[in-house]
Amino acid sequence: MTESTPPGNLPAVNRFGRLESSTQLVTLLVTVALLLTVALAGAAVPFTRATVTRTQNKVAYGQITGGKGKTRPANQGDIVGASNYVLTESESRAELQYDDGSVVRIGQNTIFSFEADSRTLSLKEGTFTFFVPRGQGAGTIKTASLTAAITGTTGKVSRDTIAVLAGEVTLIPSGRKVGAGEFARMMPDGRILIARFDPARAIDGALMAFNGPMPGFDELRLLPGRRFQLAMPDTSDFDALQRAQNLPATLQRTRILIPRPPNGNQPGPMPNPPDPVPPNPY
Amino acid sequence: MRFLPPFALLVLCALVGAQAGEMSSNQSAKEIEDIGVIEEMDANALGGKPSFRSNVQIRSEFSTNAKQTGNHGSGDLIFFPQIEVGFNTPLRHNFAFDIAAKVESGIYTQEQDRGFIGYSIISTLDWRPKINWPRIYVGAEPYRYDSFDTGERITQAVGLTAGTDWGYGFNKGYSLVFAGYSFTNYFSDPTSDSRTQNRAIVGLTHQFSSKMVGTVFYQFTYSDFENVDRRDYRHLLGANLTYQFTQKVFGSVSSTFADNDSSADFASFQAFSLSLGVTVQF
Repeated sequence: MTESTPPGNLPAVNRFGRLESSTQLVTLLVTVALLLTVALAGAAVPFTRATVTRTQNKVAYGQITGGKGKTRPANQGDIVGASNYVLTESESRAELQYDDGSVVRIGQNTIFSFEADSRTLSLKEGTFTFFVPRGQGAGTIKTASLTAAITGTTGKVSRDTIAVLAGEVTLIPSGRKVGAGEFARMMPDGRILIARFDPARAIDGALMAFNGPMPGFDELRLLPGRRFQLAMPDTSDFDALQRAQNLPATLQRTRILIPRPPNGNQPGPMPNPPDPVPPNPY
Repeated sequence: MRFLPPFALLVLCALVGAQAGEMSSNQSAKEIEDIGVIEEMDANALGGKPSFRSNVQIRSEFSTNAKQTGNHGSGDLIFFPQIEVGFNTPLRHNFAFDIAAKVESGIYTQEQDRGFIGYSIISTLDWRPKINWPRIYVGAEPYRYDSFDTGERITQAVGLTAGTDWGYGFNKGYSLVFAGYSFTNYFSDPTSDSRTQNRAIVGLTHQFSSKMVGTVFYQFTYSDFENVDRRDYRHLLGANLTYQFTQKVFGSVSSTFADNDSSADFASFQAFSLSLGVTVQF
């Protein structure tokens, strides 16, 4: 026996069937997106630890236990954990390298730390430069006054400033974008200024050359604009015609005259031949 | 037509600029040592290092009154090849010095006996008290124009200039609106060409991409001749597009319309020009 469906119900079933298919499609897409997100998140290597690849003068790292900080001198090859913080004194600098290839260069008089899972680079005092390679997962830059999301970015950071040398950062929570060649700064009045910096000065700073050139900083991408700053036009070129053709001396010399009207009304023909001594047209 | 004395205008602009400037940097010396100066780029700046430049340009200009007879039917197409070499260097206390030597020629398509060659040297001393303040400058320009046909000198003069201009950057520094004024006194030989000239310019420059900048501007020039009864009023409307081919090589295309209205009818003309140029800067 074959089960048949009343013809009158067919549209309803089909309609229901389409709805069901749409729902399933949306569910499938969401699931795939979630899986991709999880997969990508899984691909992001947490900032669990970093290797000290170079130090200069007095650099220490440690952790706070029981409200007290306990530090030890940092040397090249030491492993700094996510629970640690890094301290530098005057004229002291350090470079850290993470497992995903990210690089952080810490300036003098700086207190720096990082969080593993959220891949957050935190600055309490001082300065650092950073390079987070593309495709290695998102991260966050946190300072006393600014927080920004990063993905594949190179930049400079101080307490109130994040300058982007390559890539882009997104300020949190405003969502404002700061692109390569721009910086975000918390102004004294609480306003966040986003503006361009002079690309010719992007390479300035001891950290940019500390332990070699800053990775991820494609100088040529940013610097072609170094002399390409907005300027006003030079209009002196347009004076030539006026000077050479149209000044009184030229007009006198070339004997170009407004012929006197013969009857006082209509202009007459050009004098031919010209007067031996041209009268002054003025 | 009366203009404000140049000095009064300079003071006025300086006062306006003083209120418009924005301090965007409070970096400490140690921060600057580690990550360099990060501050809002001066949209008007010419660059921080001494630079040489050379420019080759060809301009074609259609003038409605090539015969200078007051007959606007005597149109002619004129080609202006031009070579310029220049040097710009920053000086102490926010001064800068620029010098440029230029050789230009006018080649007429029909009125070939009017062809000329001109030589000029423009030297300018700039001063911008602070970032985003108006630029104040003085300059001197000796020039000379000779006839191609006869080899005779057409005119020569020394122009002494004082002026100011000011640009206000917006749109994250990608756009610049600017205004300027200058006063020039030309001491000419023959003396009938001696004149004073007041120029005012307003315009807008926008950086479309990291390699392309466009400008539109309007300039008004008022010339008052000292030894003859003549006054000229020139309106110049222009547009320019500059493209950076490499870090040192720029190309530009410009178009202008000039309406030169003179109290001497035969000296009035309109001109439309189109120019192509290449600049090498190093």
